[in-house]
Amino acid sequence: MFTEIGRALTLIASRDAEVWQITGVSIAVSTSAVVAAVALGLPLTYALARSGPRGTKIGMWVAHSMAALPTVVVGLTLYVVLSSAGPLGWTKLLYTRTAMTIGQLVLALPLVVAVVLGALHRLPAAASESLVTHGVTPARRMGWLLWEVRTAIASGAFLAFSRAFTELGSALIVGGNIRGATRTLTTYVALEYNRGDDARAIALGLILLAVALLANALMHAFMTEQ
Amino acid sequence: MTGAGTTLIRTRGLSVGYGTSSAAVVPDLDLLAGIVWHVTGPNGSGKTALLKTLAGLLRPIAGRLEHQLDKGSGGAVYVHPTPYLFSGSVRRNLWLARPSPGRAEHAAGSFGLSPLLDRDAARLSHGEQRRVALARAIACRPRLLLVDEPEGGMDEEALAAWWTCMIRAIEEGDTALVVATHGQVAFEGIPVREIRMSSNRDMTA
Repeated sequence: MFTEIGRALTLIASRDAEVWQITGVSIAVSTSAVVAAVALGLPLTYALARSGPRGTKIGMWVAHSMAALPTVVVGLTLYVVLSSAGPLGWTKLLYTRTAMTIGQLVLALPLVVAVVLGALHRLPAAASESLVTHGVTPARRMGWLLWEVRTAIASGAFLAFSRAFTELGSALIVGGNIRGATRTLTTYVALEYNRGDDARAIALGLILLAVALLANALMHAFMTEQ
Repeated sequence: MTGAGTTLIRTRGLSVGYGTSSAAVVPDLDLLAGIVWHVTGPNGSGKTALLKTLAGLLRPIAGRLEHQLDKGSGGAVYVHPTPYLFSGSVRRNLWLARPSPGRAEHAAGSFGLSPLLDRDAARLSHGEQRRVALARAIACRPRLLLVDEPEGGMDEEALAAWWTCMIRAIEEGDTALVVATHGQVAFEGIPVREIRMSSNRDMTA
C-alpha cells in the first residue's frame, strides 16, 4: 500500500498530464456550478426574504430539504430529463460537462439559499427600514442588504463548492466518466480504482482531498478577515 | 418651496399597530411644518407605531392618512431608537440617500462627526452611532423628521447639537419634527404641540 501511495505522490510530482486534466475538469465544472448557484441564488433568496416571515419559512424548508437530496437521485432525475427520450433530449446535453454543471447547480443552490436566507432573516428590521425611509430605490436596497450578509454569501458559496466538488452520484450518471471529457476526480476514483491503476486513483483522491481542504481554509481565512 | 404652516400630513380616525395585533387609536392630526410635535404616552401605547405609520413604513390599521410626502430626501425620514448602521465607514452611512457631498459634510459637522468620517461605523460608541443616524437623516433635508427616543445614549452636548440642528431646520420653515420621548421638549420661540397616545387599546381582528 505504501508503494502505491509513493507512486501516487510521484505521479503528482511528475505532473502527469491526465491527472491534471482530470483535476482541471473537476474544478471547472464545480466552480461554474457555484457561480451559477450564487448568481441565481442571491436574487431568489432576496425575494424570499422580502416576501415576509411566511416566504422565509417556506424557502428555508424547501432549501433544507433540497440540501439533503441524495446526489444519485439528482443524477437520475437529470438523466431521465436529458436522455434522448426525455423532454430535454433534443439538447444533446447528456454526457457533457454542461450536464454535470447543471447537476451540481441543483446540489449547490439550496446551500447558498439556506445560508443567505438565514442571514437576511437575522438582520434587524431596522436595516431594511432604514433603507426604505431614506428613500433608497428597491434595486439599491438589495445591494445594501446583500453586502451586509456578504460573509454568509461567501460561507454558502464555499459550502456549495464542497458539496459540488466532492459529489459522485450526479457527475457519474450524467457525465459518464468519459476519458478526456467528463472524467472528474470523483468519477475516476470510484470507477478506476479496482480496474488497475491504483496509484493514479490514490493520486486523484489526494488531490480531491487537498482541494477540498484548501477551499475550507480559504473560507476560514475569509471569515476571520470579516 | 412651501413655508411654515403647510399641512404635511392629515389623519382622520387613524389606528396604528403591527399587522393584526391590537391597534392604538390616534387623535386626529393636521401635522403642520414649523412645529415640534411631541408624542407622549406610556410604554406600549403605540408611539413607535404612530411614527412608523407617519413615515410610511407601516400601513394604517384603520382610518385615513393623507400623505403628501415621499420617503427620503425632501420627504419623511424615520430614525429608530436603536439605529442600524451599515457596515463600513461613517461616510458610507451618511451617503445612504446620496445627498450632495456638501450637505452630508455639513450634517456631519453639526454633530461633531467630521473627524470620524472614515472610522468604521461598527466600532463607534452607542452615542456616536446615534449621532451618525441623526446626521444621516438630516442630510436628506427631510420635511418631516420622525425621531424615536432621541436621548438614548447621547450625552447632553450631542443632544443639544441635535436640537440646535432641528430648530434651524424648523425655523427655515419647511420642516416638522415629530419626536417620541419621555424627556422634556421646550424651546423658546418654537411651538411645541403634544400628541398624547393613550394606553387604552382597541382590539381589532
